[in-house]
Amino acid sequence: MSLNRFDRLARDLAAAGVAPRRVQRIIGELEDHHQCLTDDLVAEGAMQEIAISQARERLGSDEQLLGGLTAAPGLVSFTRRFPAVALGAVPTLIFVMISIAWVVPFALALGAARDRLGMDLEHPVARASVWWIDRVIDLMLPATLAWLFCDTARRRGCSVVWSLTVCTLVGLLAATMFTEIVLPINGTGGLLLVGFDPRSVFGTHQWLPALAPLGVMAADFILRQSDATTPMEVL
Amino acid sequence: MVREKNPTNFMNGVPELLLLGMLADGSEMYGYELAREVRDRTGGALSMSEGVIYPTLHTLELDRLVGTRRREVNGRPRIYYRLTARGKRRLAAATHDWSRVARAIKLILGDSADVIKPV
Repeated sequence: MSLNRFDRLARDLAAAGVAPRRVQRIIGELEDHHQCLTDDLVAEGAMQEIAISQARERLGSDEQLLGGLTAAPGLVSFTRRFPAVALGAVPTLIFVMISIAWVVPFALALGAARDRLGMDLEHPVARASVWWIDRVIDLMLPATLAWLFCDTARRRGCSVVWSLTVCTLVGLLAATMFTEIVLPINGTGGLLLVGFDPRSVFGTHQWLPALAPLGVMAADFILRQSDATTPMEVL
Repeated sequence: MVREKNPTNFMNGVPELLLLGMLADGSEMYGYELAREVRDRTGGALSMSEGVIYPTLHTLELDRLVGTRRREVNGRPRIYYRLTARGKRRLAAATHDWSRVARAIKLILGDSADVIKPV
């Protein structure tokens, strides 16, 4: 008996935007249903091979099952129903929140090191450490976010336009958003500056984080070409 | 909250009504069992295809009208469905709507409804 009886249906459901967990459950239920039908037919006297084939026929074609399942309200994933929210607003919000969230504890830690340990923030090692941590996060955040949301778009069967949208948005945010910590060397307290500066895209270090999502986009494009079930068409 | 349904849309809600009705006695049933019970209890007059039964069950679950429980049976997972309190309220409303429609049809068809034999 083939274990891949519903593989094509599973791929089609995923490409139609049904959430992976839901697909897994539906396929499990159909497998069980098929087995029950087969058992009943065998109990009625049919030969095993014929019973398997008849049970599959009774279940209906993949197209019929797919049509019924994708027509049901709510079964198609949130990402597929509201891509502008899931692949536009959500990554933007997450980018802004993480950009701010990581700086706050970092600034507090630096402030504590200065106030309690008497650390010299102007020391070359301290300056280099801050610079490198900043650069790594500047690069990792857009690359990781772009990859996660491109992956979601691909898995949910959203068109390549949505991957491009995510990468462009994240790239623009990486290029223009800044978070700066201002800590007086000898004083106490400090200042956290957050904002958007379109001119900063021409700065000395903003271009690399902004280009990282483009690399992700290229990888997404290659993966889509290798996966025939993911729609490549534009919208 | 139980949604009021327009009785003119009653045909759209028949699979939902049948499935909720099957679970009305508090029993837990799985997809194949439900399909077989609908056929058996209606003497074969009604049957639900798999292309209808699973989308309907999953929609009922998303609307929290039925709950689910996963059990291993003969080494394979099986999902059992049961009616929730919300589902009971929906069933009561749907039954009320359906009874109104049935009475209305009976008024139109009159005595001929008792005479006409099923084909």
